[in-house]
Amino acid sequence: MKVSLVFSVAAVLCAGMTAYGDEEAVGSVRSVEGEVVIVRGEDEIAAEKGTRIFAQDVLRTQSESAVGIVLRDDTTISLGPKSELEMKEFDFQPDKGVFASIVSMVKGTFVYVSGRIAEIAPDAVKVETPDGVIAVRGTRFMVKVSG
Amino acid sequence: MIVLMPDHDGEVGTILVEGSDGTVTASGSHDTVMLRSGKPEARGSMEDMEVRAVFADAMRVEPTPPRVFLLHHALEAVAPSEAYLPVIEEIIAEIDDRKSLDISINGHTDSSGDPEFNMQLSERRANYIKELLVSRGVRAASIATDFHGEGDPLFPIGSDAPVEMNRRVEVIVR
Repeated sequence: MKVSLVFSVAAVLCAGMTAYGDEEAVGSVRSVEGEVVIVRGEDEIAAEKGTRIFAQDVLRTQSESAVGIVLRDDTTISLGPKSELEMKEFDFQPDKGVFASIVSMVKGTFVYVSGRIAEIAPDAVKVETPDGVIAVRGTRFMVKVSG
Repeated sequence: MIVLMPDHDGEVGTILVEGSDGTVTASGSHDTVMLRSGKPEARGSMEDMEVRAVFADAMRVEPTPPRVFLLHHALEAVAPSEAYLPVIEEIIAEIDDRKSLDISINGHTDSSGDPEFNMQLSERRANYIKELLVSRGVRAASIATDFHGEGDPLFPIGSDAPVEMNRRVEVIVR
């Protein structure tokens, strides 16, 4: 009896880890035009439809290129040509009340549509730009960051 | 430059543009704020044609908002109630339409009974739907399942909504 209890607690813990560990994707690529790379540490990955995105990834579009992504809380972000976006922080655990969504728009053009985190915990959603921060109460806005 | 626009339901939200030198709130359709050297400045509303010219490329690849489906269950049932069979067909049609490679399946229970049993039940509910979709040709690699037991109710305990509304699987097609 004791063994099975320990076992099931361990199972729940493991499940929690797979569900919420650092390894989990924060979103994915929905559509790509032209040349788009995801910079992950030392690696550069060519973005395709379905490519998973992780916290700390940087998305970069070349000229005549564009990309649209969807995050796990249903936020959508799209980038026009010669644009760069850094996924700084993302945490979406509704059952624990843990929320964070911080991206940095480094340069280029963007369309942003906020998702569930902005509805549940608006203070947790921030869009950084080189000149200031956008606090997002919802929902759809566009940003041009001149280089 | 920041421009607030209507969302896909035609609704206009609110954003606060915060620089080191003040904050400007935008809450009207096409409201435009310039932000230079930490100083935000309201610039009135931008012409729609100009917005479309500046943001044409980003708007062209803007993802369709994800679609959320709810399947509800009888008490302690792993499979959704029969009334939701047509919803399964809608889910499969939506996945085909979008050629979606990113589907989330989240299992939930109501708050009756043992929390640990509920955690396992919510996992079985999510996996049941995953297996069903895979048997219909959806790639398993495109599906992420998660489960929350009774921890993420659709309607909080004590609200007027009937408790069975919390027994559910959410399927999000992106």
